[in-house]
Amino acid sequence: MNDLLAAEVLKLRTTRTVGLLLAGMVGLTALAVTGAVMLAANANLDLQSDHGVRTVLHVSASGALFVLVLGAMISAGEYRHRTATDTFLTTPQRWRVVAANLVTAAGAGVVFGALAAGSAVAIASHVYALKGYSFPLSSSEAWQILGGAVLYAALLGALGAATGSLVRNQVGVIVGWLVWLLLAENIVVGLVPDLGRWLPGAAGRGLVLDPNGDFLSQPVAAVVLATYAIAIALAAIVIERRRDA
Amino acid sequence: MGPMIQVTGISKRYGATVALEGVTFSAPSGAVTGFLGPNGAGKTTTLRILLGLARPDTGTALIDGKRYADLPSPRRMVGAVIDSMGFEPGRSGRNHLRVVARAAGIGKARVDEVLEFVDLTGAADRSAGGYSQGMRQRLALACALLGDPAVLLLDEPANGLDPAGMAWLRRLLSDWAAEGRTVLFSSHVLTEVEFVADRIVIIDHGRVVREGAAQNLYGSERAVVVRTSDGVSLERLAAAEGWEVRRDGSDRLVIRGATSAVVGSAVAKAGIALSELSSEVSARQLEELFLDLTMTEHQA
Repeated sequence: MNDLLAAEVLKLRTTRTVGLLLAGMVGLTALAVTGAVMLAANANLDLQSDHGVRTVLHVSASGALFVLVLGAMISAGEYRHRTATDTFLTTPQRWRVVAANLVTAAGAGVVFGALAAGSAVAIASHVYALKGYSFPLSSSEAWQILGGAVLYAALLGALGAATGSLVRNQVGVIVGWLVWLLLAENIVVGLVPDLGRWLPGAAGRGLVLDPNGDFLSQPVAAVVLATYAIAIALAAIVIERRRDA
Repeated sequence: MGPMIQVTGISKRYGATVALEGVTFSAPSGAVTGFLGPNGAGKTTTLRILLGLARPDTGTALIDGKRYADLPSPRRMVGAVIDSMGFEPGRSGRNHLRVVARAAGIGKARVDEVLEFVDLTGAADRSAGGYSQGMRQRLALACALLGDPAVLLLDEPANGLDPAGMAWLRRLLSDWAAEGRTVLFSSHVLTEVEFVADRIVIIDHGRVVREGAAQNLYGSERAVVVRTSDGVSLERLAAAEGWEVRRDGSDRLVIRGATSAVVGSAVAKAGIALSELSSEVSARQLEELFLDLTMTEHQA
């Protein structure tokens, strides 16, 4: 398994798109945080209060969609570029491949998420200063949100990889998740409000302490998202056992 | 020890289409086995099943007595080139090999070795997306060789190769077999197989229609060629002996139904002077056999 993970990391290091995705994630995070500080300041929100910090920092998770794309690339991308055959010839036990993809995507999510969180803090501090405030770096709320954002990135990466293993279609996975997170989930929430909190998008908002609504607590949200990822990965493993490569 | 590759009674359906029906054959070590059949006969499906990429509905496909998935170190036992292999276009050829080597626990030094072997060192650090078809094929071959495997499975390896590449490949296959490895390669082109294969398995419509040593497959069909100025006497002798004889030019006769030894001694007894006595296997003969087998199947 160690050899397999090392090979997965080598794949990421030798794929150009990975750098672009990271740049996209950090850029989007910086943009979102800047916008959120501006809006909050204009709305005369107390930027140094816990509520202010939540309002500003919870958007730092928005870049995590890039890790979802990365996760789909790690697994389903193997079918797109037809490297899956070589992978299965080296590792015929397909559950190992599914698991390695999931772990790699989650690990990449931690790295990406940490870099994005760092840029979120840097940008927030800077824009706070422009507005005449100092960013409350000692606020435990801030670190809890950033930690949640890193975890969210890791779990979205795992979700992307697991879904990619199941569906084997990179574009399908990415489009499917975007439609779900940006559109379909809201419709389901509207129809069945009691269910809403447990859906992946809402769980993600719970993870980053989104102040706009009633979401799951951070630990529960993390467990819910991880459960989705693992359940999808298990489904992929069950199907892989019967499926031709 | 049994044969290195043993396929026994494999059948495979895709929906209503029967791809393979009771395919049974073997490929021993130290020999090149040609897996011959028209397009769509089931060659690729059979190889994919041997490699654990597809599952048979019934039957077993074993390499060294084990299913592919049960091989302790598959890359070190089997090297394969099949057409469903691709490359991440932005990754260099060298990095593609390094990724596979890393996953298989094979050292970096071996990557340089196989690159050198397929003559790809110069292009190794360029993106594989820019490779020509011949280069891709050589990269795939390099990848198959990473583990220095005892068994080589190649699906239509001659596709896209120029004549020089073909000659190189033929030499390679023979050399590997001479080293005691097992080589199984598929082709729909007869002439590719007959020059290099020690054994031939002919498959058509998902069934093996002939299997055996290349010599035996057309041994009985082998023609004896003689040259003589006394063609009339020879034809009389042939009629008496029950051979089939055909004139091929003014003094050349082609005889079927007897070996060159039998023809030689009978001709000597009859006192006919020969200027040449030889046996030949023409590409056309094997082609006729091939067409014969596959056409019969087709009509059945």
